[in-house]
Order: sequence, then C-alpha cells, then structure tokens
Amino acid sequence: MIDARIEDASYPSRPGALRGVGLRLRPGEAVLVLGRSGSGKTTLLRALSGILREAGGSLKGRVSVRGSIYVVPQEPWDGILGYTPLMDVALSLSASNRDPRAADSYLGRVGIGSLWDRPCHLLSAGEARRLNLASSSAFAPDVLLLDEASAFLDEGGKGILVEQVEEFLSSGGSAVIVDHDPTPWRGVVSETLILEDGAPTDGIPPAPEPRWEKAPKGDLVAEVEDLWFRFPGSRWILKDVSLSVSRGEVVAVLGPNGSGKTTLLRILLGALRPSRGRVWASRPLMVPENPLLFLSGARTEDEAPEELLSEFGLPKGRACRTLSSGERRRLAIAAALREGADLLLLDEPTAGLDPWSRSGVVEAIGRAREHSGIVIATHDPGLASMADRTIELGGG
Amino acid sequence: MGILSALSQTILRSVFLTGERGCRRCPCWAKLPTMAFMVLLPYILGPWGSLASSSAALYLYLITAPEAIPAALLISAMVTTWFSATGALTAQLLGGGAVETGVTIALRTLPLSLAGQAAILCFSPWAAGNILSRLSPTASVYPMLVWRLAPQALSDATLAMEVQAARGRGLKEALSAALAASMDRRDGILWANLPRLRLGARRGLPPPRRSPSCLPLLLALAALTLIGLL
Repeated sequence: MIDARIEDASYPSRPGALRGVGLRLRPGEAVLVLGRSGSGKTTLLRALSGILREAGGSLKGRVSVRGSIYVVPQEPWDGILGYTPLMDVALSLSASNRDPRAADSYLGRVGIGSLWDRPCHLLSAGEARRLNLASSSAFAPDVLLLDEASAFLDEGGKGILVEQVEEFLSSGGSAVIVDHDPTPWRGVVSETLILEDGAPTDGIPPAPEPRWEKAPKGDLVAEVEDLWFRFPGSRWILKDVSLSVSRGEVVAVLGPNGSGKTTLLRILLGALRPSRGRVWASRPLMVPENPLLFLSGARTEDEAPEELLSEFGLPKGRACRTLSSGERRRLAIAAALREGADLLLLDEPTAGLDPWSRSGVVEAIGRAREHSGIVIATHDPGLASMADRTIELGGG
Repeated sequence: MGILSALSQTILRSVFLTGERGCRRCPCWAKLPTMAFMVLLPYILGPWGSLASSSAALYLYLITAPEAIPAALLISAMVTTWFSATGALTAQLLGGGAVETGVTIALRTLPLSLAGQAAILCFSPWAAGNILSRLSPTASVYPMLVWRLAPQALSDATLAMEVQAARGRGLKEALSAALAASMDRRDGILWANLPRLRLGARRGLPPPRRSPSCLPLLLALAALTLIGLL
C-alpha cells in the first residue's frame, strides 16, 4: 500500500528536515512514528500525502502510495471543511462517491450525533477532533495519516479512536500514526519508526521528569461564586460553579469534551460575562489553545527578553510562526510572566506535545506559579495530578 | 478594543449562530422574492414600507434563529445611527433640514440593514453548494468553506482581541496575532483537506435531516406581496 524511500526532504529554511527514511506497509498494517518535535514526523506525513512541494518543500527519493489518502491533522479545526458536522461528514461521503445520506450514523458512532447542525466554530477542540474521526471514517480511505490524533480527546474519545483504527486496519487499510504516547497503539501497529533530528534511529533517551516544586500559597487572585453561563439560546454550559485561586496555586479544570472548560477560562479573563453569579480576577492573562493568538510580536525577542528566552529554552531571533507547538506555548507563558500576570489561564497547554516539549512546558508552569495563580483546562491526567486542586466540569 | 471585540461577537451571533434550520432550508424561489420585497418596499411605500420590511426581517429571524434577534437589532441600530447621523450632519452643513434628512435615511437604512442580515441568515451554503455542483463537484465545496472559515476567522479575531486587551496591547497587535493564526490555519486546512478539495461533492449533498415547513416563509411572502399591491 505504501512503498517509500525518502533520501532527502527539505524546506528552504530547513534543509535535510528528513533523511534516509524507508517505509513499506501492506494492507492491514500500521506504523507508529515517534520522535521529538522537529524530528521530521510531520515532514514524513507531508511527503506521503504528496503535499510537501505545495508546502514549499522538495523531495529526493520515491514515494508510492496506492489508493486514496486521508489526513487527520494535529490541529482539529484544520481537518474540518463543512460548516456543520453533518455537512462535513456528508462531504467526505460524497467525495468518496458514497451515499452522503448516511452521514448521521457516522456522527452517532463518535458520540456527537446531537451536534449535527451546530456551526463548527462553536465546537470544542475535543468535539472537533471527534468530527475529524467521523469524517475520516466516512471518506473510507485506503491510507490513513494520523498526526497526533489523540490530542484533545478525553478517555472515551481515545477509545473510539483506537477502535476505529483497528476496524480500519482489519478492513485492509494502512495507517501511519504519529503520536507521542505509544501506549494505546500497542498491539495495533506492526512496526515503530523512531526519528531523531530528521533521521531514523534505534531509540532516544526518555524525556526528563519535569521539576515541579510546590510554591507557598499567597494572596487571593481570583474568586468565582455560584457562576452560571450560557450563550443566547443555548443550554447551560456552566451551572453553579464556585472556585477560588491564590498566588502560587495551580488549579486544573477537568471534564469531558464540550463541558465548558474554555468558557470558564474566558469568563475569568473577563471576555465573557456570567449569566448569573459573581466573578473577580486580578490581572488575568490567558494563553489560548492556539498560542499564536497570544503572540503578537513577529520574533521571539519581541515577546520576551533574552534571559527569559534562555531560561525557557527558547531560540532568539526566530519568527514566532515558525516555532513548534511546544515552543509557542513556552514563549507565551514566558511573555505572560514578563507582563506580571496575577492569574494565568492556560487552555490545554500540553495537548499534542512530545514528552520533551511537555516537560519544558510543565517546568515553565512550575516557574510561573512562583509569581501567579494558575488555572489550567486540560485532558492531561499527568498534569492534573501535579495540580494543587482539580475541579471537574460535566454537564455544567 | 473591547467595543470591537463585542462587535465581532455580535456579528457572529447575528448571522453565524445557526446551522441548516428555519427559512435557510426553504427553496430559493420563495426566499429571493421575499428579500426583494424587503429591500424595495421602503422605497415604494415610504415609512409604512419600512415598517413592513423591518417586521418581515424580524419575523424571518423569529422562525430561524430567535436567539440572534438582539444581536441583529444591535447591528442595525449601529448602522442606522451612523448613516443617519452623518447624513443629518451633512444636511446641516449644506443648509438643509438635518432632522428630516436623518429620519429619512434612518427609515431606509434600518430595514435595509435588517434585510441584509436576514439575507445572510437565510443563505444556505448547502443549497448553494448543490447548485454549484452542477457546474463542477469541486465548486460545491466553496460556499461551505466560506461559511466554515468566516465565523472561524471572526471567532479567532475575537479571542485575539480579548487576549491582547488583557495584555494591554492595541488593535494592531490583535490583528497581527489573528492574521498569523489565520495564515497558519489556511496552510493547515489546505494540507489536511487536499483530497476532499480536489474531489469535491461527487454525489451531491443530501438535504439536512427533517424537511422544514416553508409555510411561515410563504406567509411572509404573501403578506409583503399584498402590502406591495395595496
């Protein structure tokens, strides 16, 4: 199904992004690709999907993929074309010359049947990811390329993902799976490819455990009492939420996809007004799930001084847009610290990060807590276990 | 910047809060004449035409997305105030009747802005996609893509403004962040969806679940026709 020998895949700004990679997959086989951020994983997927040249890159070698390809991208919203979930799945069915009227059943299988007509920009990251899964299944490709597809999914969603890939492989498809967490894929993949600095390797040293020390609890920086919230005409998203955060404290907000975690952060930021209840927060700053919305400077040193960049392990003189996801998040946290936020609101700070980048982000959060109170919306159980307190949202 | 962020949220709520429901699902032959009457009546019948046209627009909102009415009224009020105030000021400077000019402009702008928003609300990317699919399967994707990306860009811009305002930054920084995010998203969507963009809707697109009753829209059309004839 896939027969590739990539001698060299390069971008003008990054020669030798991927070198000396061979890959052969027969129907029903899958490979798990592991490696740090910037090791060439996404370049491999781009080379296999035939978009490397359109992304400004060049390829030496040969890539032969038999049949149709479907990509589930790292960023869930990038994988959506339709303006409602039903339309996105119908488009997949219609593009693959199948009956688009079956779209409903695909949404039901991933647990978002009730959201069939909701405009896609109103979906949460987890709901958007579930839609990606429904649309990929509806397209029925021969080859599936998954780029950190488990990011943003709750445990139920991850189960659906693995089940769907197993079903896909048993029907004769082939899959290339990029994921930082190999655990769910044991027994599913036939081989593992580890990349380091653009080339295959036998193994890489494990990521260091992040240093994480408790900070003394300081003054109160946020207080929420009996908070209720809903958008006009919609159901209650938050019901009777109460919370207080002190400086030096890390509070993790947990809950299934669509339970209102991001909405709570936006209310604490002061961007949304509660429908009922009282909210007070001192100098809040929020790093959204897409940290580019936080970074307004063109280059890294526009956001943080050289010492802070070095402290957070960030390069100097790089355009913010060319940074990896982990680097963008670390830079945003560093910039928020520089601006002296009393309350730091972090939306999914570790989603889709490799263990090394994750470790860097967790340490950055640890540094930030010395100066601020921190509220984190997350699906990362490891991060949640390091928090001083957790609150669980679900059905409001 | 708080005002701009609120404005962009209001636009999102006034026209992009719904999927395929209400009058969006009614056929073009019913929607187009209704819209035409809503635009023409204020010119033909003056204040009574403005009243009829505004009522019809609000009625369409009521049967499609009642939760969006406050946002639609707010946007119309802003547009009307802007045009009538600048018109009145110009008339005053030119020595004409400022109040009369302001009221005349308001009576035409209010129904027009409501009709414009109602037209966007009633526009169905699904129906447009199906019409375009007769030209080419790939063309059918574009109306959906526009309706997918426009609210997403507004949503990103709103969040960028909220975040940058909290940082004490200005509009320039917010737009710069939103632009960088949009460029990133454009590249991401192109990469992830190339097969579907190239193939398009080869089997057309199904009508969304449940056929709505178009009776409320036809009633509005009949009422506007009667008012126009009388």
